[in-house]
Amino acid sequence: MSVQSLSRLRHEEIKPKIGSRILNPKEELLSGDLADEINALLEARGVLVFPSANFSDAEQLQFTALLGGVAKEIRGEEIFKVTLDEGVNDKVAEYLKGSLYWHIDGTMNAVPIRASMLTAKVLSPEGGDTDFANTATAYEDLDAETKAKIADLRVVHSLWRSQLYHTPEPSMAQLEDWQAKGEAELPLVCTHKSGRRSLVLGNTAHYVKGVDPKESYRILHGLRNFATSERYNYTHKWTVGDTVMWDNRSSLHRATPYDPASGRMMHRTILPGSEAWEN
Amino acid sequence: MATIINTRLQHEEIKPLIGSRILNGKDDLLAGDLGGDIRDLLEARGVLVFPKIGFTPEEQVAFSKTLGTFAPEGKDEGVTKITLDVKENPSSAEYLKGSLYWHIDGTRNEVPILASLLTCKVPSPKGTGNTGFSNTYSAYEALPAETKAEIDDLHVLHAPWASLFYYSPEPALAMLKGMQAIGEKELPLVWEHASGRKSLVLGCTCHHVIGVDHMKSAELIHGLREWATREEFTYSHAWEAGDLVIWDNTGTMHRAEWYDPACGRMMLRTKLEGEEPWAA
Repeated sequence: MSVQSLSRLRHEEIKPKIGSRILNPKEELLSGDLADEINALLEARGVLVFPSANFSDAEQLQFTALLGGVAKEIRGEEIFKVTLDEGVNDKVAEYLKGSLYWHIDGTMNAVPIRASMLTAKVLSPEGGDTDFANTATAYEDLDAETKAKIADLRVVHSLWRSQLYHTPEPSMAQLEDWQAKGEAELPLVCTHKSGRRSLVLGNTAHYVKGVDPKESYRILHGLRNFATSERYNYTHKWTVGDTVMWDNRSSLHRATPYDPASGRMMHRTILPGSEAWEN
Repeated sequence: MATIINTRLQHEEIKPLIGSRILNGKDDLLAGDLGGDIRDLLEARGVLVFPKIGFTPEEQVAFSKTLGTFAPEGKDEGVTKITLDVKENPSSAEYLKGSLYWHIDGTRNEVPILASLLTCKVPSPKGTGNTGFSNTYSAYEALPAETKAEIDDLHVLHAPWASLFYYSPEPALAMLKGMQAIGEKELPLVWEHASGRKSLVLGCTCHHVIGVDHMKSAELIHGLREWATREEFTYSHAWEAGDLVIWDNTGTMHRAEWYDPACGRMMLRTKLEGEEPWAA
């Protein structure tokens, strides 16, 4: 059976260091036969694009379940509506402004989600692309000296630091609200069970422990600069009905700016984490 | 003599805790004998507005010299044009972004400038391009005694590169290194001036409070900035052509409010040399 499946998954590279397009039709994707291969390809490529798969919510949930299960979203829902429209998302829209900057989901949790899947429902006339960067292939390409230098570094992550990206002069009430979410210390280089390594960066990465502030910012922003450079990044320009999924632990992602009133709407499902940041 | 001079300076409060309007005409101001009184009032009020006084560049320089030591900028001894017109200022958009957040000038110098004087030649459209001021003396003085005791001895690392993250939170490494090369400086959070008055030293150049954890440090920096920029300590000047505004850089923060870089707004600036180093 697996030989048969292998011959059936049809895909093509988007760029050498990131991204593949899956060309099978929806029916084949939902059959379940391709799940293992899709998961393997996801880890290898970081981002998988299913052009115009046109999943309904039920189908997106079914497909997500086939690949490893559906994790509950912030408010217990299985489908999260990603929009900056305050009418839909209320206070969450405020937090989502942070999604305009490079980040990894779940840096505040011991076990981050394994992957996310977005389906485009309504597009913004301008902007609203999603950018991805492969932090595993970027790590592999670092020179040996840099790898040695950063191997054991520890980084403090926080939501409050990420919120300062879009609100650099917060009120005390805002700051206290963000700070109540706490901080987490993570390795700068995450070693996966598979032995692969990836960089843990993004707007929640505040400072490297035990390093002076200037050097700390050079390390974190220098690596983010490198990992998001042309070689390791992919910008997905959406068509309604596209589904894109990414390996959350080895990708940075962000939305490009768009008008919150544009009605842009993405439906997200997430896959439960399978590995902690550190073992 | 002092009595006579005192009777001659005509002024009115803008708000109880910040700002005064000077009502004397150009001839009175250029005579030179009001300089001392204006200096005292500047220190007391933070910001002085000379509505539609209409100084020429030469008059602005001459008036500046009645108040202190003129600080030349650039090659010539005249006024400095402040504009975002790309023909005059090629990196204008960046310049504006950097000035939209509360700050004090010269936080990396031993002796910060005493004051800046701005004349409005061409205003931006109404509702844009105001200049905001916060009186950091009044704000300190109004703090509860227990807060004063908590912060009086704290020091803060100020760095221009920290302000970069306000308007460009994902800088390229080359940009970050360039800003870091400008330097950084540890300053007291509370500046006790030679006069004995105390003011808060805050703004977007604050990186962190020395010896305090990051969360607490952010609470102090942002909490005090929020306090000092409350309505009662701030004044937002809506410019008319010909207005001159002076602010005491050692006892205020200031910021630009947004305007369209292409609108033709043009200001002329002079500066007064600092007379007092940051407190130890």
